[in-house]
Amino acid sequence: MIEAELQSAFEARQPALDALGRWVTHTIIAALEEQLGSKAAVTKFLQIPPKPRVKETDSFLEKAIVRKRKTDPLSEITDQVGVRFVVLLLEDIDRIGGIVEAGPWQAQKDRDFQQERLEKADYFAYQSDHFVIRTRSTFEFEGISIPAQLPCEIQVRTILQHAYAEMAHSSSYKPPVKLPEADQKHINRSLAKGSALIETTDDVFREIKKRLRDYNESVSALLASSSEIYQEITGEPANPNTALGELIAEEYRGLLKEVTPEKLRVWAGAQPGLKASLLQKRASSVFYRDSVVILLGLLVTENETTVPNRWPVDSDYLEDFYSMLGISTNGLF
Amino acid sequence: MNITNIDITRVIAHEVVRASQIAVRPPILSDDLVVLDEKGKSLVGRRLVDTVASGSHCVDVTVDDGSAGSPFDKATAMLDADNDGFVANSKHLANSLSTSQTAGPIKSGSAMFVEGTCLADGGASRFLAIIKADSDQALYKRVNGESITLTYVSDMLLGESQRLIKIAFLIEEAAREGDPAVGRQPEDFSVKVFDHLMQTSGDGDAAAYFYSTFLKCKLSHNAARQTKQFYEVVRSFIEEMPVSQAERIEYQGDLISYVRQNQATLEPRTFAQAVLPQDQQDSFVRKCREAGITQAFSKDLALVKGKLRRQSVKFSSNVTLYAPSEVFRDAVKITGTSEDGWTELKIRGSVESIP
Repeated sequence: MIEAELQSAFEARQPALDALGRWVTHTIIAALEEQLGSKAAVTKFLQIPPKPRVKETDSFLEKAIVRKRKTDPLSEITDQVGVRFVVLLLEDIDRIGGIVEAGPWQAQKDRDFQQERLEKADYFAYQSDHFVIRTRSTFEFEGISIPAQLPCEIQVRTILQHAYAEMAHSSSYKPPVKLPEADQKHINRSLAKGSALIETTDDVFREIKKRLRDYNESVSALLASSSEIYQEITGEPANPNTALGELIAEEYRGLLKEVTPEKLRVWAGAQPGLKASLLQKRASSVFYRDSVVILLGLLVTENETTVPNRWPVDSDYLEDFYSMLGISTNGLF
Repeated sequence: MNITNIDITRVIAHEVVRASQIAVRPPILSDDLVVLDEKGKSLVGRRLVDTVASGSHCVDVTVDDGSAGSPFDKATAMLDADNDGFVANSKHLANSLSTSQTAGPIKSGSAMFVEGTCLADGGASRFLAIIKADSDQALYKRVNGESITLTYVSDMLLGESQRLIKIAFLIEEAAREGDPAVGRQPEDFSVKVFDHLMQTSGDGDAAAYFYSTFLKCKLSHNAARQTKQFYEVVRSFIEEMPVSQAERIEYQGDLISYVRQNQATLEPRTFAQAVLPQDQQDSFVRKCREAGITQAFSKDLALVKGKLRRQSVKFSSNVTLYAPSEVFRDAVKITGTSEDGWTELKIRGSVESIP
């Protein structure tokens, strides 16, 4: 195909490519919204709003004729339209990957940076997941007909990988000018260093996130077993997620590290008078109707001098609570 | 001792005065049991926990006279007495309390007799508490619509101040066996006394009149052993503390000077708050609890005297440095350690003699 023909064929399909880009973006965002629960959560999840972009005609022609010489460029060039999803963490990449692979199209993973890392273990460069999807059949989106087998490239990367890619883009990946060899070597070395650093930082972020999540999960587990134990002891329904529970979990964050659901159970089992006390007190005080009192009981027993220092509500409740547990408040309040 | 689930069954209150006033104006002795509402009972329970349960300043005492007619006999008989007997014995005890109030800054006040049940370290027990409660002065607040009136009250009892109460707490640890007409044995009870005057030595008669003159008890014969045990628990705690060796030596010095201070009782929580950093206080209290030390006890240095006299540091090279405890803290400083195994010390003073 001569250049002029290729140009007009590409320009003719640009409206369909544009519609395809918007449809793909819309479909992925809708799936994210379903998984994360709200539009706001999706906005927070995506670090940069995804904007589909149709390839510039000259860029397409240059790739088709000069740079990569394709026999059937209209089918073989896969990034005629592309959209990029930038997320915070490595694990977020997998979430979008999952959505893409399950989407209403034929999906193929073109680049898998996790796999590339293993294949080229001592090589540090551009990292990003690339998918190419193709429409299964002809259909209409927002009044525009999109033909079957039209390709769209989806890039998924973390914000750090994105920062690297933007930097590398202007220096090596697609160099606008040819540098002297020595300078290019320096730049390549620096880019590799940057890539390695970013991979390390992404791992660090993942570790931070994991710790936070583990903590939150362990706190929820504690509040849940506090509630279970409370229900077993009193025979009364109890809500594990109360404002007081959250306040206490927040204030005694440091002390909760030492507590496990098993420890909580052992503690409650060793309090023969607890049932009678709770049944009596819950009748007249909302404080004792809150199942967090089980968790608080263990905290007080183990940390009798520290708990009053951080007590987040009226200290009358806590003084009475000490008394219920048989611990003197002498010198503490 | 962990004391929970206090359930108060009978209460009576009488007036008590100084011995010298008995002839001038005989104290009023009530014939009727006091009816306390739930909140009143809860307040009394709370005061009892604060003064005699875990973490409190009460001490265990040993009954010195448990014979027929003794205060111990009269008090423990109240648990099984009918209401008339309960009232009669309480009057007798209130009178002997007035008679005992001869020494020091003793005020007139009330004697409350509180009978009830509780869980003591998890076991169901009966108890009798004798509370000498001094009257407190306060303002009584009343809200009338938008305005607040304050009225002077001169005889409020069982306020928050522990300075105004003395308590004898008798817990039944073994049930009565045999003839109900025969009095109870001291071995069947644990007796705890709370009196803030007992915390500092030097108050002599004033501190002793309640538990000794009135109650005919003496300080626990375990005092020396308990003091030694406490001293050892603290030592091993300091050994395990996550601090530098230099700080460890300082804490060791703090322990010695704390124990040598002018207090008559030792109590883990008070010690922790006075000596240990905040983040170590709770683990110390837990360690004491595990060792069975849950409340105050009378200090008796008989078994630790030698250890308190001088403080020492032993080095890995077998060198040991001794100094009188009162000198050590200010005269010996560990300033650093070097990688080749030397410790740098500073010692105040110059070499005086080489014996």
